[in-house]
Amino acid sequence: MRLGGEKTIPADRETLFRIFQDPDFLAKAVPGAKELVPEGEGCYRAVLELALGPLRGRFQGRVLIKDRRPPEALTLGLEVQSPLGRAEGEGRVELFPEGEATRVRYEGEARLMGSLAGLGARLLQGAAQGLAEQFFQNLEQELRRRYGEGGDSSQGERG
Amino acid sequence: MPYVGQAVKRKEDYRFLTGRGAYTDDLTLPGMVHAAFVRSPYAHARIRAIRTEAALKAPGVLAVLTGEDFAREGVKPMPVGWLLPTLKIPPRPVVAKDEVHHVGEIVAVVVAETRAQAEDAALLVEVDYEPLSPAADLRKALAPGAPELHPEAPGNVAFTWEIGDEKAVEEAFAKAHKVVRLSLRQQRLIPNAIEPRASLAAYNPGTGEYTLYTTSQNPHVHRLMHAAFILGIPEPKLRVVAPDVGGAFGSKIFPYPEEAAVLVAARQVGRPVKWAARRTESFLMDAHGRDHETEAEMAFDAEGRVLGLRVRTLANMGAYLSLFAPAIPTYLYGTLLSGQYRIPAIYCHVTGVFTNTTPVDAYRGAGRPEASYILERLMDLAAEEFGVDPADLRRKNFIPKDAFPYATPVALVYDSGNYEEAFQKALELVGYWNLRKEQAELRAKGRYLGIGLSCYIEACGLAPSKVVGQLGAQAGLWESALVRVAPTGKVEVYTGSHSHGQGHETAFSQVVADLLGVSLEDVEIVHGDTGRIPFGMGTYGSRSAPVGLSAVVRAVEKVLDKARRIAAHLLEVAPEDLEYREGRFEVKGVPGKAKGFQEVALQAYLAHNLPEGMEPGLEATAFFDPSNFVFPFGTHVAVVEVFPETGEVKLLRYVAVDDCGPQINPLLVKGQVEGGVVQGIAQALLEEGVYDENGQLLTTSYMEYAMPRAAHIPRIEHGHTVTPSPVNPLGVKGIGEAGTIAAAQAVVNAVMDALRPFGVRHLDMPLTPEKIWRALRDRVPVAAD
Repeated sequence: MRLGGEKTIPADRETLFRIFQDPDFLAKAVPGAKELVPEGEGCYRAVLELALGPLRGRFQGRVLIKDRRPPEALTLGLEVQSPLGRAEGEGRVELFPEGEATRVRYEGEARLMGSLAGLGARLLQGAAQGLAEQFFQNLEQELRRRYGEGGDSSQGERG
Repeated sequence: MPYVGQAVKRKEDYRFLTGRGAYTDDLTLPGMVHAAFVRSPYAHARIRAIRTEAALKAPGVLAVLTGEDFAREGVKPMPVGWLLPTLKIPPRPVVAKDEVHHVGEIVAVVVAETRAQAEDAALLVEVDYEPLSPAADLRKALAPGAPELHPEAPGNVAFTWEIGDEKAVEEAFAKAHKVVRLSLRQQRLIPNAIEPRASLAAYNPGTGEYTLYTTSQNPHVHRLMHAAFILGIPEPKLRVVAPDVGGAFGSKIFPYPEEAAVLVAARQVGRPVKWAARRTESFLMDAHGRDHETEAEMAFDAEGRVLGLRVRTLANMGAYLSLFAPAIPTYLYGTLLSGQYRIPAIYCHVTGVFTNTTPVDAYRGAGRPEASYILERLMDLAAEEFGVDPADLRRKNFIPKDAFPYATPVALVYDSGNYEEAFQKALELVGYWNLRKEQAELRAKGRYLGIGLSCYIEACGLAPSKVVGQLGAQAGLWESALVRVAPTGKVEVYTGSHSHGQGHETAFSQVVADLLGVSLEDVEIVHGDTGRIPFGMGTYGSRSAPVGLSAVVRAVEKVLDKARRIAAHLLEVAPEDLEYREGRFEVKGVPGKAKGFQEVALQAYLAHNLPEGMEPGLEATAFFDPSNFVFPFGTHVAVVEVFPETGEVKLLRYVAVDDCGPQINPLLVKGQVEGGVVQGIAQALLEEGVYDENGQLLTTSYMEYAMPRAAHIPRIEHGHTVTPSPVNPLGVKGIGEAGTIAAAQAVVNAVMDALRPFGVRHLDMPLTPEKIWRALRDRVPVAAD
C-alpha cells in the first residue's frame, strides 16, 4: 500500500526539521497519539487511539525516526500492533525551502499484516492516506498554536 | 424389505438438527483452561527475541510457552507421511524458534483461565522479528537468486517427480496431426468447514496418560503422529477422540501444530487446555488445497484420436510439507491423467516448490480434480480446433467397456467402467442436442448460452497397502472393524473410518442390519475414539464405503459364522444344513426348525451349551485390505448463460450422472454428490486464496474469500448408472469426492463455450464477473460457425 503527497507548511526548514524530532510536537501531530514516550535514540513508544476504516480502538505502537539528513530529509516510521494484525509504515520525508515556507514531500509504503492485509487494499488505503494528510494538518495547526499565524518560529524561540 | 438401496433418512440427523451434536468445542472438562496462539505477522522473518514478561503478568495467565520451551521439552517436528525419492523435508516445528516461514505460524502459546484472557495476553507477547525477504509465489520462489526458505531445499525445490514414458510421448507428438496446448492455473483453495478446528487436551500426571479431543477425520492417525513422532510417548499413553466433526473434506486429516501445542501445554499447566480456532485462524493455518501452474499438451491423429499427453506442473507446497502433501500433486494427480480416455502415451513432470505461504495438502478431491480439469479443458479446446462437437470427440476416445480391467500408461489398472453409458445418460438427461440448437438460436439474438461437459474418473479407496507402500506411503491403507453382538442381540459396530458429515451411522447400519437380518435401530455405529476402536485409518479419499464398510462386512461374516456354529449345535445339525434368513438360522427343508439371532447371541454369552472348545461371546474383528483402488466415474453437464455487459455467469442447469456401483443409500449419495458439486461450482466461479507479494494472505475472512450461496446453485439433476467394482464384497465405490472432482471443469467448459463467439480461448478460475468482463471488453462477437 503506497502513500504519498506534498504539503507546503508555513515554517522554515530548520524549524520543521527540529519539530519532527520533538516528542511533544509529534504527540500532537501523530493522529490519535495519546502517549509518546522516548525509548532510545529516535524511537518512541506510542499509545494510539485510531479509527482506521473498520478498525477502531487503542493500540500499542512505535514511532521511529531515522536516516536523518538535517535539514533536508528524514524517515518517519510507525508500527502498530492490533488484535487484527500488525501495520508498519515507513515514509521518506523531504523538505524543500520555498521562500519563508517549506514544501514537504513524503512518500512511503504501509505494510499490513494478519487480517489487516485482507482489509488493506479495499478498505484501508483511503483511510491510511487520510491519516498521513491529517498528520500534516495537525503539524500545521500545532505550529500555528505555538508560533502564531504565519508560523514565525523565531519569536517563539525567543519567547 | 432390505435396507440397502433405500433412501433411509439419516439416523444422526435427529441429534444434529436438534442442536444435540457434541463437537470438540462443546466439551468442557473440570479445571479446563484456554490457549491462544501468538502467530507470525511476517511471511519470512528471523526471531531475534521474545519477551513474555508482560503477558505472564496479565490477569489469569498460567503460562506462556515459546519455541525454546518446546525444544527443551523434546517436542519433535511435524512428521511427513509420504516420501518421494527426491523429497527434501525441512523440519516444521510445532512452535517456531529461530525463523518463521509463513504468516500465521505459531511463535508462542499463551494459556489462561479464560479464552478472552488468553487472547488478550497473546497481544502482550513481544516478538522482535528481523524481517527477511519472502518468496511468496511459485515463480518468484524458483527465480534465480530468490530468497531461500530452507537450507535443506536449495532453490526452494521440494521435489521433482515424473511418471509415464517421456520418449513414447515425444514419438506420439512427432507423428501428431494436431497438438493442442494449454497453460493453466489451479488456484489455491482454503478449507471452510462449518466447524473450525478445535482441540482439547488433558494430562493425567498419575498415569502419564493424555487425552486429546480434536477435530479429526482419523483419530488413530492423529494418535500415531502425535504420540510416536511429535511427543515421543508410547501410543497407548495417548487417547484421541474425534467426537462429532462438522465437515473437513480433507482439511482435518493431518496432525496440526495446535494439537501438539495443547497436549504439551496441558502437561505443563497440569490442567485441561482447550483451543478453538477463530475463523481467521482457520484461513491462515488449515492446510490449503491446489495451487498449481501447468503446461499441458495433447497430441491427436487426423481422426481426432488422442495419441499422447504431456503435462508439466509447478506445485506450490507452501512453507513446509504437511503430512500427505507430497502425495497430492504426484501419485494422486499424475496417475489420474488418463481419465476416461484411451491415451497410448502419457508423461507428467511435477516440481514441488516451497514458498512463504501456508502449507498445502489434501483438500476436496486432492490431485484428482486437477488432473480431470486438464483433460476436460483440453478435450474442449481440441474439439474447437477440430471443428467438431466436444461430445463427439470425447465419445471417440473413451476406453470401451470391454477393455476392463484397463491398464493406463500411468500406473493404474482400472477395475471396471462403462463410460459411454453414463455419458449417454447425461446427454439425454440434459437434452444435449436440443440445447445445442437453442444455443445457436440464442447466439443469433446476442445471448450467450454455454454447455460444458465433464467426464471424470477418480481413484478412491486408496489401496492396496502393498502398492501404496511401494509408492512412498508411510502407512498401510486397509481398514478395521469390530462387530460386537450384545447378549440381547443388539449390535455394536466399531469402525476405523470416521464420519465428519457423510452419514456413516446410517449407511453402515443399513448394510449390517441387512446382513444380520435385524432392524436398523438395533445397530449402533461407534467411531472416532482410539479408546474404543481397535485401529483405523479414518476417512479420506472416499474410502469409507469401499474399504471401511468392507471391513465391517468381513467382521459380520465372522460373527455369522460363529453364530451359525452355535445354532447348529443347539439344533443338533451340521452348520452346512442351516440357512440364514431374516435373522433366523433355519434347517434346510425343515420348516419351523430354527434359532433366531437373538437367541443364539444370548446362548453365546450364557455359554451353558456351546460346541466343544468354543470360546464364549459373540464378536469379531476384521481388517480389510482391498486388492485395488475403486474407480467411480460419471459425466456432469453444466449449462450457463454469460452476460457480456457485466461478465456475470448464471448457472442455468446442472446434471450429474455418477456411477459409484450399487448405492447403499441413494439419499446419502445425492447429498454427497451435491455437496461436492457445490464446491466444484464454487472453485469455478468464486473461491481463490490470494497472497500479496509480501506473503500476506489477503483472503482471511468472508469479506475477501467468496463462498457459494444458495442463489449461486441451481437445482441439481441426478442420474446414475451401476457398474459394480470387483474388488470389494459390496461392489461399492466412493462417492464423497465425485462432485468436487467433476464440477469445476463442467462449469468452466460451459463458460468458455458461451464465450466462443468472442474468441476467448481460456480463462483461469475463478471466473469472476470482473475477469470475464475484462476479457470481453474490447472484443466483438463473431457469428458462430
